[in-house]
Amino acid sequence: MNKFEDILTNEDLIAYFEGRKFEEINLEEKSEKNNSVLDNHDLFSELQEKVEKELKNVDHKTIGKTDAHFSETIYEYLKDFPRRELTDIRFWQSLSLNYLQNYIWLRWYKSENSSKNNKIKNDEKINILKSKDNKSLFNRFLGGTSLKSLTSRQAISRLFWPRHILKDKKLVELCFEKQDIAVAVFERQYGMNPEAAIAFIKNISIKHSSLEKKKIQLEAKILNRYFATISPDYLNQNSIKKLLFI
Amino acid sequence: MTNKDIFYQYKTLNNSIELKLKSLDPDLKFDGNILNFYNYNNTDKLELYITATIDHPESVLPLECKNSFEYLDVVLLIKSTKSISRRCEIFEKKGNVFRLNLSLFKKDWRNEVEISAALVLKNNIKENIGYASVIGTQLGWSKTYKIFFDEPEEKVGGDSMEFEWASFSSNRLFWLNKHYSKDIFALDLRGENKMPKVYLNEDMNKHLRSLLEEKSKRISPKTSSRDLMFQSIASSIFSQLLTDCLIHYKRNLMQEEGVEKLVAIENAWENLSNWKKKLIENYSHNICPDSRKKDALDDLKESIYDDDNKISEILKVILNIAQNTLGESANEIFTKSAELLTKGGK
Repeated sequence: MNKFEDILTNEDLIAYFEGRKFEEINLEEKSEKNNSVLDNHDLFSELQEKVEKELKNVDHKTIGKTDAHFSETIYEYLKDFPRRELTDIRFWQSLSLNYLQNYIWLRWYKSENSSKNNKIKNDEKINILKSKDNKSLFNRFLGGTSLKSLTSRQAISRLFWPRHILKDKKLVELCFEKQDIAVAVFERQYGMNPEAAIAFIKNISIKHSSLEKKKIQLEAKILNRYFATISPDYLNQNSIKKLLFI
Repeated sequence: MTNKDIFYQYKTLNNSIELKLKSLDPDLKFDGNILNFYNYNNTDKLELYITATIDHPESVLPLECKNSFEYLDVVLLIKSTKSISRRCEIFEKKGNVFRLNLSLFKKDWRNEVEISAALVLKNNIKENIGYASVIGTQLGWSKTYKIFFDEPEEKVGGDSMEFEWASFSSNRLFWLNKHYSKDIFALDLRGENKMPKVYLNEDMNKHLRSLLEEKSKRISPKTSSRDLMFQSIASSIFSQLLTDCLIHYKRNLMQEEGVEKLVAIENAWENLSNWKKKLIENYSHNICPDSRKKDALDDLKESIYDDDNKISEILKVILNIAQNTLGESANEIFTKSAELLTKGGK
């Protein structure tokens, strides 16, 4: 049992914390490496244990700086899963709620009371989700239907996919060091293309060392416009770099 | 994949690239440019033989570039947003035909994969007015093939709205019981992303029901009254649907707080269900009649982002938008009915 049978809605998320059980199904495709060693439940439990352990070293003030670290942890556990499963939001919803929700609450629920030692009780979670101020939490748990929901919004998949696309741990650190970079790349179509994503992230800090939000957004927009007439999929990193520095 | 609305400042192919996709497995057949691969449960791999032909490739290059394919590549673009994947393969040239083999494994793809061909510039060339000069510039396109690895969403049940006779006092329509049980019609929009449904109250007056069920096309006071009623219902439903779609879009935009404008607009739009997008898209020019037809949708999306009062302004004229949208039929039906009844009164 590794993913929800149906995509959970906002109402379902509240119902989940109210105690409703949602049907789960097996993954359609088997993980290439983990299949014979551990079943997925064991693997996810191991990941959960590791994440919980690492959470002990952070609090709500410092967790925003740990995206690159947790990105690596999650990537290491899931990298051998078939792409078809890793692009299924039901998989991420199930993993998030059944194994990694403490991470999500600490990372995305901004409250003085949400610390590593002060786990939120279910009643409180329901009230938080029903509050108008915390609508973005739904996105973090559930994602959505668009590309960005997986690459930039859903709390766990947004850590996995940049690492998968960028291939390089150092680049992931650079990408998450300034969240505007991650948003600029992984909320756009060209972010799906590794060469374009890598070229942008490698070069943006060279062109604008201060990494101002507006400059990052402008460069991303300019690149997007080039890609109205130029095929990003045909270009290598060097050609894309030249476009950025025209 | 070509966007006819973009004005290219350089020469592009006059004719589309002719792209042909053929499955090596004779059981897997394209229907036009679509292959529903999800129907083939026992096949994990799709192997395709792909060819492309191009008319007058030299037309996109300056005269001094004599041997076209020193400067041009024909590429296959494979894109699937739901699979978070886009890549390109370069065709191999054999005489006048370009060809390649492509294998797609089920485990790698989700939902829809789009495949098309493009002619691109191989290297930067000397700038020459009227011609492209930057590597990767797209100079020609083919039609797009679609391979579905999963059954397309929201196709079940069709795209049209359902109508149903039902009692507004019944348990099934509990949301109408308390205050609206005697109404004539209701629109069920509660499913957010599901297609809405129209209910007609089966408890209505039997003469009224008989009139609404009248099938005759003959012009008479009876059919004229029926048409007027339908017109009134259609206009109300259209107004309510459009209102719901626009408010949903605005609500999505509000969830994009702090996100760059263009990204916020794109996200808010993509998070609408297909029917809502279609409705706004189809009637955007009726909502923004001062915009050029091809710009109307973008203008609308942007103006709702820029102006918090935009939705309120639209809603103030929503009945007129509905009348304009329903076209001549509103005016015609009202006029015909009036003529018939006043003549009848003489």
